[in-house]
Order: sequence, then structure tokens, then C-alpha cells
Amino acid sequence: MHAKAYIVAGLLLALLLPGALYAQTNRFTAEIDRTRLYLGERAVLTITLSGPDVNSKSSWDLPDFKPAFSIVSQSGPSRQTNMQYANGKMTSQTSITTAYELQSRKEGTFTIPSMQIVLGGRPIRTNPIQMAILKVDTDEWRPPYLPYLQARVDKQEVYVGEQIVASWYVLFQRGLNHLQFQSLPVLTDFTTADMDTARRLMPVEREQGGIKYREGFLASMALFPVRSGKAVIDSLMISYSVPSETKKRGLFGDAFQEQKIVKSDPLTINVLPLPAQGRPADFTGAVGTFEVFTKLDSREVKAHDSLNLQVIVRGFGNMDYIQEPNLPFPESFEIYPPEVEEASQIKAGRLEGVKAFKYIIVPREDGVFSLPPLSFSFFDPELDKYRTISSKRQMIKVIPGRKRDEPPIARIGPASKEEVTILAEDLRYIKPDADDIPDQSGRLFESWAFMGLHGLPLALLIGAVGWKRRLEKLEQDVGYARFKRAFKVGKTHLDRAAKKINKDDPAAFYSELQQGLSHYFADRFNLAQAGLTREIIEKTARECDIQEDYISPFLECLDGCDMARFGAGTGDRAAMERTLEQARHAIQQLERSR
Amino acid sequence: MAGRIIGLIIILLGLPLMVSATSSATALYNKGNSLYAEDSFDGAITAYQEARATGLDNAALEYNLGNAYLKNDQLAGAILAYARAQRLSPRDPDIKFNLDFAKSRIRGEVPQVPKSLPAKILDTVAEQTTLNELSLLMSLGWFVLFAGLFMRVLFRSSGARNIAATAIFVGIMIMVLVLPFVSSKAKREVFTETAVIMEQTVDAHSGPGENNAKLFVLYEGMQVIITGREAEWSEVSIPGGLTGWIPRKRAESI
Repeated sequence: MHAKAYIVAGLLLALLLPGALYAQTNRFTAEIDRTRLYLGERAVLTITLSGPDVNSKSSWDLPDFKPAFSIVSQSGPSRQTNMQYANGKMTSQTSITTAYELQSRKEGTFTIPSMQIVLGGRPIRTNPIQMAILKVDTDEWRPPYLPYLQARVDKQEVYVGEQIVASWYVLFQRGLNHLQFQSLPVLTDFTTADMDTARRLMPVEREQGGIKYREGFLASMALFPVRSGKAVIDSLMISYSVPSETKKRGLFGDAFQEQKIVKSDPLTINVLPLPAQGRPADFTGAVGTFEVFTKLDSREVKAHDSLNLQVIVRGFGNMDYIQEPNLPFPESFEIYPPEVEEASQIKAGRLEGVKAFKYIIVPREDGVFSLPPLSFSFFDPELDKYRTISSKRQMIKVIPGRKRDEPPIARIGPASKEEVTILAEDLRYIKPDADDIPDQSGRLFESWAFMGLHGLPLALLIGAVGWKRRLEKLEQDVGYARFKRAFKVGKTHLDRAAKKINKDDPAAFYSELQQGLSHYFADRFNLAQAGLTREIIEKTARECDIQEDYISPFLECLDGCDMARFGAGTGDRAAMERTLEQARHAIQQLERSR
Repeated sequence: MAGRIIGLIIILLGLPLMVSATSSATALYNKGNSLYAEDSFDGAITAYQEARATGLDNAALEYNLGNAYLKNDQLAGAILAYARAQRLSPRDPDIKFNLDFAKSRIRGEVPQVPKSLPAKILDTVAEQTTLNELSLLMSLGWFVLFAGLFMRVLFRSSGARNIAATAIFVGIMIMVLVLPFVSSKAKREVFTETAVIMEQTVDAHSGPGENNAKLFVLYEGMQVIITGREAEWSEVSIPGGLTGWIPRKRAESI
């Protein structure tokens, strides 16, 4: 019974042990991605060192790869450490990986020798690797390495200003991820025009020189050399990414990408100068093959109406050298500066440009006119000589039109830029001579006089309101009204009394005088005149704090009148006048006490 | 006739500001006219500009100058002159006609921004009147209002009070109605600086300097609004909201 258990345990242990041991073994491997190469091709050698005894000091000697290979690049060494739990114990394992890119240099067979390292007290070795480098037997051009960036031109020798089409292709075998332009070629020897740029890589399968690869179009440009001599199309640089050789897995299990760069080789173009002899006088520098047309929108037009003329130049050449043509129009034609439109398209792999000059012409006189042919000179590189082409002669018939003072056709409006502009009339004429042209600027609100004028009604209104208030106060406040008119009232009475002196009627005089005094006092202090006694007067004077000096003459006068009326009163004129004076004086005194 | 009366009032009220047209300016104007008639447009331009240099602002002078520029193939100068003429005399049909004619020759498309009805009304009135005319209308409302208030304060009778109430109402209504037009016109002419592009093509950059990116192209004769200045550059904007910087001397203000 017990024996069986031991056997089972022993078997299990035997099964597990190798696994445990295996986890504890150091390993040293060398792997190559291809063992057969054509001369010039590249291969990647990956060397991995792993195990529990591997540490940062672990190193080995790299064998000598010459003359068969040269090392192009090295990635790594990259280090990775694994922790493992086995049988309740924690073990750690480190692995170091280095990758070398090798370029084959000589044909023949070559063995990458085994490399040795001492780990954990014991030496371990890599396996040797047998390589075969084959020579290609054809003379055909092959890409020297892959991926390869190739620049092509359609001509190696051109004239100054002649169009060359340069195209760039990328040649590759494996996939190219994240392809990007890193730097554009320096093209200072040329004037350039972009032709085509690939939006997606659409590779074509090719085989050349025994190598199968794929070719993808990148971009093309039309180049026009600026001067004679050697013109250089410099390198284009692109970048792409490939799965990393050394770091296999990222955090989430995806492969690390490494960015790589590849450049095209510069190309030299031989540029010939334009010949000096045979150069026409009106040559402005255009090189290529061109055609010129003229288009009139109508052969017959009324005088003072407008006509549209288009001069169109089309060709494979640098359109910047096509300048505004010299139009030898008849004198009576009024011409406005043209609108210029340019367009270009790719035709048969080359850039064709079109330049249109749109003129508006207004003939002023009637008759039959001919537009002489337009000539245009350029250098034709296909024929190696200068050429002058011209458009056809055009006849225009101008029939008598409206006179200037006829009303114009009402078709004025903003002209559309695609269609032909139709104008029915010319400018209206200038304003006539004048004896005096006044200045019409000057803003009203900048003038103080103007703005100040607006304050006037406001001031008047305030004045009116104030006056109205006073009026109302007078009406409502009787006492106030009486107070105000007291002096006047008193004066009126005294003047009347003065008249009564002459009439020799002392009673009337004294009566009037007394009336005047009491009326004055009553109004002044807003009392009832009817029952105004001496006592009330005295009382009021006291209440109003009127000084003795002011009130006593008044009282004296009043007493005097009383006496004169009801008793000893003489008809003495002088006495009457004196009393009158007293009364005036008394009132004045009281007035002073306001 | 009404124009003459208004003109007379303007002259009387704006006395401190008036610069009387000296006889030399008139002579230059007439000289320009005769040069124009002989088709010597360069000379006409010089004569008209000398008349302007005396400080004179006159619609007929600007209009004739515009014609001379246009005949001389200077589109921007023409548009600038016609725009100035139109500000001085907004209802003159000849000025409008020639300005439209010149504008049709601008090379580029000026974006047309669709406007709301109130904006259209403001624009139509603003284009047909001068700022002074609108100011006078405001003043009229002001005086009528105060006349009404005056009457209300002073008179008691119901008849007088009715007239007063009407006057007050009318005065306020006039001012309320005219105010938006006055402010719109003032905004256009006084507070907004409009300029005309003077060269064939001008690149507008994203900032004041050649090294900034080019945003869009402006053509000779286009009208832009100047919204800022820095060193030798002006910030301009066109209807549609595009804003950019151009060298200051490439555009001239109206």
C-alpha cells in the first residue's frame, strides 16, 4: 500500500523535475532570419542569452563577419527579467537580446561561428549557422537593398526651362507601416510644380535581378531647371516602422515598432543653355511646346458696348514665363486690363498648363476692324530651335451704337467671376465747372454752437417751471400774496390821500390815511383789516419781534389819524402834509424790518 | 431746395468748423475739369489732388477725381474717391453708378453676407442720408419735445394741454425712431475705419509680420474694415468674418 504511494510520488517528481530544472537552465541562442541571400541583400542575426545566471556583466565575443558580411546596424541589447514561482520558491530569470543587421558583401558560403559564454560555472555555446551568398548572374539593375527609395526622371539632359518629370517610388518586400515623408528634396536648381502625390500606397509586384519586390508610387513633380550646367535633385527622406527585433512584446501583447529611415540617392541632371542665335526679339523665356488661340464672344458689336476677348496659351512648359500678350488694337478701341486665369493638368505623364487672358474691349467708333494676329515666341526642345506661333487674324464689325446721352440698359450689377462681364454703359461724365465748391464736411455734432443750442430749451423749461411755481404759490398762498403787495397797497392809499389834501376835506384825508396804514399792516401780516385794533397791532409787532424803532412811528401815525378824525383835527394843510410824510416814513421803517 | 436750406443751416451752425473754399481750390477744380476733357488724366488727377490738399471735402471734386483715376487705370484710387464722394452726397445717382461700375472691376469676389431685415433697413437709410441730416432730425425731435413740455408747464387750458401732449409724444417718437439710424451711421462713418486696398494683390497674414502664414488674398479696390494696428501693419476684416494682417501702406482709409 505505502509502496504504491511512493512510486506515484516518485513518478510525479520525475515528471516535474525536468520542468523545474528546465526553468533553471541557462540558454544561449543565435538565430538568423534567412540563410540564403543574394549579394547586397541584408539579414538579421538575433542573439539571445537567458537564464537565472545571466546578469548585467554577461557578455560574449562577437565573431568576425568579414569579408562576407558587414554590420549595418545593431539594436539592443535589451534586457527582460521574469519572476517565477515554482514549488513554493521564487526564482528570477533574466534574458538579454541583441539583433544585428548584416549586409552581404561577398558571394560564397560562410559560417557564422558559434559563440561561447561561461554562465553558472559552465560554458555554453550557440550553434554555428551556415550562410550562402549568391551572386546574381544578370546585369539587370536590382535594388541594392530593401526597402529602397528610388528617384526617376524622364530625361537626363534638358535645356534651361524645359520640363523634367521626377517621380519617387518606394521598393520593399515586407510591409511598410506608418510611411511618412521625413524631409523633402532640396530643389534650388529648379522651378517646381507638384504633379501627383500618393494618398495610399498601392504596390505593384516586380522582379528584377532575381529579386522579387513590390514597388509603390509616392510622388511626382514637374521640374524646370533655372540655369545651365549641372542641376541636382537632392534626396527625399521617408520613414516607416517595422516590428522591433529585440523587444517582442509590449505591455498589452502588441509588438513594439521601430522607426527606420531611408533616403533616395541624389540625381544629377545635365542642363544645356538655350542657344543665343536665332532667338526672336519677343522671346521671354518660355521653353516647351505651346499653342495659342484667341476667342471673341461675338464678331459684331455696337459702339460703346463691351466685347470679351480671350487669349489662351496652352502647353508643356513653365507657364510663369507666359506674360501678358502685346495686343496691337486699333486706336479707337478702349481696353481694360485683363483677368488672368491659370490651370494645369497631367497629360501623358507630363504637366500641361493653360493660361487665359480675358480682356474687356469697348470700341468707340463704328467701322470694320481687324485684330491682327497675336504672336508668341518660345524655344521648342523637341526640335532644338526657337519657334514663333500666332493666332488667326480676327475681323470685328462695329455698328453705330447708342449716343452717350441715351439712357443706358439697366443691367448693372456685380459681375460674376465665372461668366463674361456685361456692361451696358461707360462711366458717367464728370461734374461741370463751378464758381465755388464749398466744403461739405464738418459734422454738426462736432460744433459747440450746435450742441449748445440744445441746452437752450432746457434752460427755458427750467425757467418756465420756476416761474409757474411762483405763480401758483402766489395764488394758493394768500398770505404770501398779501405780504408781497402790502407796500404797493400802502403806497396807493397814501397817494390817494395826498390828493385829498388839496380838496380841503380833512376828514376824507385822515380817513384815507388811516385806511392806508391799516390796509398795509393787515396785508403785511395777513390779518383781517376790519377788526384791526391798536392792541392787535402791538401784539403782532411783539410776536414778530419787530423793534421799537420800527413800530413806534407807525403807531404814532395811527394815533394821530385817530385823533384827527374823531376829535381835535384841524384843517391845517401843513399839519396834513406832515402827517402824510410821517405815514410814508412809518411804512418805510416797517419795510426795513422784513 | 431742401438741401440748400439744410446746407444753409449747417453753414450757420457749424461756423467754427467751416473752412471756406478758397478761390484757388475752385480754380484747381476747374483746371482739373478742363484737363480731363482733353484726356490728360494724369494732369487732372494732380489738379484735383491739389484742390483736396487745401483741406477741402467736396462731393463733386471727389467724383471727378474718381473718374480721372478710373480713366487712368487706377482702380483703387477711383474706388477710394467715389466712396468719399458718396459719404458727402449719398443720393447722387452718378456717384452711385460710377462706384458700382468701378466695383464690378474688382478682381476677386467680395463675400456677400446675408443680412437680417432690420440690418437692411438700417443700411438703406444710412446709405441715403448724411450724418448731419440725421443729426438735424434728432434735433427737431428734441426741440418739439421741449416745446411741448414748455407748453404743458405754462398753460392750463385743456386745448393747450392737448397740443402739449401731442408735441411731447411726437418729439419723443422722432428721437426714438431716428436714434438707431444715427448710431448706425455714426458707427459706420465715425467709429469704424473703412479702407480700400491700393495694390493689385495683397496677402493677408495671420499676424503682423511677413513670417506669419498667409491666410487669404485681397485684390485692388476691395473695401476692408481696419480693426487694429501694430507697427507697420494693420489688422483688417472683410464681410464673412475673415480677419488678417496686411502692411499698413497697402490700404488707404476713406
